[in-house]
Amino acid sequence: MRLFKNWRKNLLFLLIGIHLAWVTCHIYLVATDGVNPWKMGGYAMYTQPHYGPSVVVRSLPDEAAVPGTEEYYKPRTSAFYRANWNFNLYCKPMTKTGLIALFENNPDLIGKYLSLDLFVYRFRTKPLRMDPEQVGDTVVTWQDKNTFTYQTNICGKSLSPQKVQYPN
Amino acid sequence: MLEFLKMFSLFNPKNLGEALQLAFFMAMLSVVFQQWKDGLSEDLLRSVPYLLMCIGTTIYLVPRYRKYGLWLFVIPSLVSFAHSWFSVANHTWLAIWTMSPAILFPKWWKEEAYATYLRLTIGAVLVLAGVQKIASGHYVDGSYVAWISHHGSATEQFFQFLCPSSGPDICTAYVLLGILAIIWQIVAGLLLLFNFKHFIFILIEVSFLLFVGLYADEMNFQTLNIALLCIALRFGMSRRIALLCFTLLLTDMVTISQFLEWLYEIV
Repeated sequence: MRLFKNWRKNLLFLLIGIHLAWVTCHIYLVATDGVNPWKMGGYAMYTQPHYGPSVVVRSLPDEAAVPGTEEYYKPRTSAFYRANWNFNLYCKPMTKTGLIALFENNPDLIGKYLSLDLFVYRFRTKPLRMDPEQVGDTVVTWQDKNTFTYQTNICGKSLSPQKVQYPN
Repeated sequence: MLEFLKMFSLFNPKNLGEALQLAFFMAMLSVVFQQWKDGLSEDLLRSVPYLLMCIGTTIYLVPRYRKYGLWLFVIPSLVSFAHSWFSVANHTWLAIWTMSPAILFPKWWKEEAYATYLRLTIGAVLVLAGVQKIASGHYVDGSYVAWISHHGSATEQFFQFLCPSSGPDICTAYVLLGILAIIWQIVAGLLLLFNFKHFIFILIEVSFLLFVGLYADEMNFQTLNIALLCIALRFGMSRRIALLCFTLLLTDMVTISQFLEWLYEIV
């Protein structure tokens, strides 16, 4: 009953505990290059320059594409990024919701065989520079105008393909 | 009319309670200013909470409705945070963790528990942020200071003069600066955790915050930190410090780098 009598103070202790647990997770994720150090609390901000992750959208002409023949796009991506937490968790696979938002905002991409390449920037010191590094990609293949399959490779892991019914 | 005039009584604190509330008001203002700088989004979910937070901050000025102002500030900020927690600035993150629990208490300014909560939160965050800097290695080897001294904003390039011959490369001065920054951050965090309240420590910490704010050209975060320290250490905020903080917030709207660019064009 004393727990409830001092519930406010106990809640404050709980909040401190939750906060410390999250900071510990953040330390681990930064150490394993899994999170944008400037976000999700930003406890590691100012440990490296602030360059956010980015996605390059390119189309391959067909299954047996020859490198160098890709077409690059600059689509509207704000909803796509938001659905994927702005890619601040580097190893989080792209979501179905995000891909649907991408096609809803860019109908010209529907039907195209696409590769969405996720790049993050690494701070290198010898010499000092920011290097873009691809950490994963998601390949989208359309079966028809209402169905696509996407397959993600992220942080060294290959995930199984997912089929999506694209709404009209 | 009397209620209107009473709004300004916040800026004339007569006791510790009022001084603490003035500090909290400055913290609220720093959040409002920082989100204004980020820009009102077309996303309604972000802009409506922001408008409510502005209204709450204004209502907080009126003594009789201060409680409602606090709720009108905290609840929309939590809603906004829940919607975009993965991308909010660290300023908002710290504000959410430190200011939201004030609504748990009818008179938070009288509660030692709330002040202790703030002190432990800020102290722990300082220590762990220092640990992050050590773990990254970029302060101990001087590489981060070297990078921003040549690629950062106008104010961040301030320390270039320390290593004129090394160009954009690392030099001993950058290494020492990096190590000094880590040491002070961890020491300050530990002193807060152990409730060390000596005037010299407070003076150094506030000076450090102001200098870092000038250096990084980000005064609203430092205003938040100063306001929270005033509450955590139960000193409260005087009218003079509040005026200084308000000036810093106004400076931040333009940014020092922008001001320096204008000055350069004129000259």
